[in-house]
Amino acid sequence: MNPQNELPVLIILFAPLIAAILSLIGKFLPPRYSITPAFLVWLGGSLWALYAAAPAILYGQSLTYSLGGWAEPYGISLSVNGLTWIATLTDIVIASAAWLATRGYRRFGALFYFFFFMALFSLQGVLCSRDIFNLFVWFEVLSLSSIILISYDRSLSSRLAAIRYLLISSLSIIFFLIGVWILYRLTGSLALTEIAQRLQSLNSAVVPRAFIGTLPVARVHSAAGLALALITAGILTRAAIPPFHTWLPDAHTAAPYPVSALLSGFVIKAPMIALWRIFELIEFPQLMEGLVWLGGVTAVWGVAAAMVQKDAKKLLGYHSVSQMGYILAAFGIGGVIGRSAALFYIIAHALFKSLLFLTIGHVTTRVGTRNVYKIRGLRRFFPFYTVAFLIAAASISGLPLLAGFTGKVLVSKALHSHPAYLMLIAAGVGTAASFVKLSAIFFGTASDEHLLTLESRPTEDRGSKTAAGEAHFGLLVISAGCIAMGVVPRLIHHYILLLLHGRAALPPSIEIGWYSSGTLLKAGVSIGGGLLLALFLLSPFGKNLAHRARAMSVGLNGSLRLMVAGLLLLLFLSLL
Amino acid sequence: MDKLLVIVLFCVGLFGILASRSLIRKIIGLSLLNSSVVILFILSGRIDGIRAPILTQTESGLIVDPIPQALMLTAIVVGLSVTAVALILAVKLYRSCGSLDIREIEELLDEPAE
Repeated sequence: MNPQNELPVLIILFAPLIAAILSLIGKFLPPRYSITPAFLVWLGGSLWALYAAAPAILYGQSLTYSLGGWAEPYGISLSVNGLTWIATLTDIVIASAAWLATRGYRRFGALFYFFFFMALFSLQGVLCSRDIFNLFVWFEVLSLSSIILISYDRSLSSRLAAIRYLLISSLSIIFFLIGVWILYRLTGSLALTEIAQRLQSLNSAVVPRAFIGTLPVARVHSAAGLALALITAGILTRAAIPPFHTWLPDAHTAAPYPVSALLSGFVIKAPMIALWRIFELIEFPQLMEGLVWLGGVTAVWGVAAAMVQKDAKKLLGYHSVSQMGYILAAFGIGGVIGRSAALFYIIAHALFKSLLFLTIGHVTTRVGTRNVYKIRGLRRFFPFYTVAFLIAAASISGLPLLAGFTGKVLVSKALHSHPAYLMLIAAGVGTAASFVKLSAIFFGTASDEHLLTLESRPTEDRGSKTAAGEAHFGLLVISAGCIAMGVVPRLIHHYILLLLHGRAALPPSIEIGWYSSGTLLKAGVSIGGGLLLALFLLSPFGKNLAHRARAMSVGLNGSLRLMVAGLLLLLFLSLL
Repeated sequence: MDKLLVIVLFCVGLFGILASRSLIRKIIGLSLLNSSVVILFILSGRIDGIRAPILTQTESGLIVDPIPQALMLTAIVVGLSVTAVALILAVKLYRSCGSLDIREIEELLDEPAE
């Protein structure tokens, strides 16, 4: 353990905590002396640490910090590898843009920023942790801070969303803990590397089986399967994969919009990274195959629910569910190309979804309603936001030269011969339709009532030019990211592979054919289909149908039962 | 007997959180679920007649596995904070709706028919 390797890990991990504490001082000091420095400390520290960690990671090493100097398997280790490195960078970009967007509003006080940075702190813990019980603690800190951020508006709907999220996530973490218990009983360890080694040594007689004792091998295998299924169910709930997703649309709708951007942009991706770190060590093929199918179902389920929504933010929330399907399917298929596709899509989705929430959130806050069918003609009032929104909407719909298109090409390359891919294609058509429907709020002519609200000065607005400029800067950076991922996908994919595998073990390059006639044709067909579907959705008949579909909500009790059913399905799958 | 206790607690908790409509009962159910997991871990670290895990200069021999106990201290603290936040939200919801029934609260928020 040399200190040079430990320092970047420590700083990446603790910079958000320091920023949280500094923000809290803002209760006594004017924001200029507390909140802004807190942000700068966090941003500067994290970026420096990433810079310092980069050389080692490019050579395929991972930087590890052991708490209290106790190395694995006895102590708790936190490590930064290529995966964490990329995820952290994405997290920093999204969180900075969200932070900049909060600056325009007076209502976000010191406590808000405290919980904002606590959420970032626990996110970093989830990304770095290599100890399965430690992961539980980070998950709980993350859910508590997100609950407080979700209910920050103190409205009835936000409190209801918060308590729903709390009950659902707590039930899921109980599953997770039981899984941890089984693994601990089987292997006597909580460190992931150690658990993986001991599970693998089950079949060989050379290694002493001290912990596993006298259980027959077949039973040990099924017990390990059950444990992994329980842990997966716990993590999938945090990643909002159906049937564990029911908390997401309400929570992301009720939260203040910069928080929604962070939640949809990154908080649901971090559990996927944790899942990845577990399953890169422990092999479990039948569950992976199940995840590919679950990914397909997720994509279709999310998009079907999104198409009928009336509330603009809820529509975006369901799209987050749907997009997680692409990531899950690519992750489940595995291999070099599948995993890099999942990571590529995680970055792409983080960028365009946070951009969508920031633009839609801003304009709907100003107009005072989120009804997709009523708002029209915002283009005149928010030219900058309109352009940013269109970039994001075109990205998620899969228009060429933008992040969503290249992400979908990569996912389709990974999944090309798998039947579940058909579901992803169907979801792509629905996504395009839904975003044509949402884009309508920027065009046409605004109603008189909305014109009045738009022209009067909103009471909450600071009205300062700098705050608006800061928010614009955040949007600009994310838009640039979306475009870069669409224009130079080969370069970005190359760097993802380089960071994941290191320079020495770099896998041979694969011809993706980013802009071949096949991929362009597919995009054209899905966008064309989407336009037709959108015409139907905006017709009176489509609206009526959507209204009826919205009435079929399950409520909290329904969601909890759905979760238990999903868990039983996963358990069954693991025993097959 | 101990195992039965864990199973009964778990089932009662799960029933409470799934079937009850009252938020307070749901939170109690969650608390019970949490306790059942805590007891599960503690039981797995317990062996009758073996020393507590305190290292001294003179004594040696078998000791009880201290890890589950350490883990559960953390889990109890986490469970406490989750319960506290849940109760705060329940109180706030009760003050604004006058009801703890989750279905009644949800109905208040449903969109009116067009």
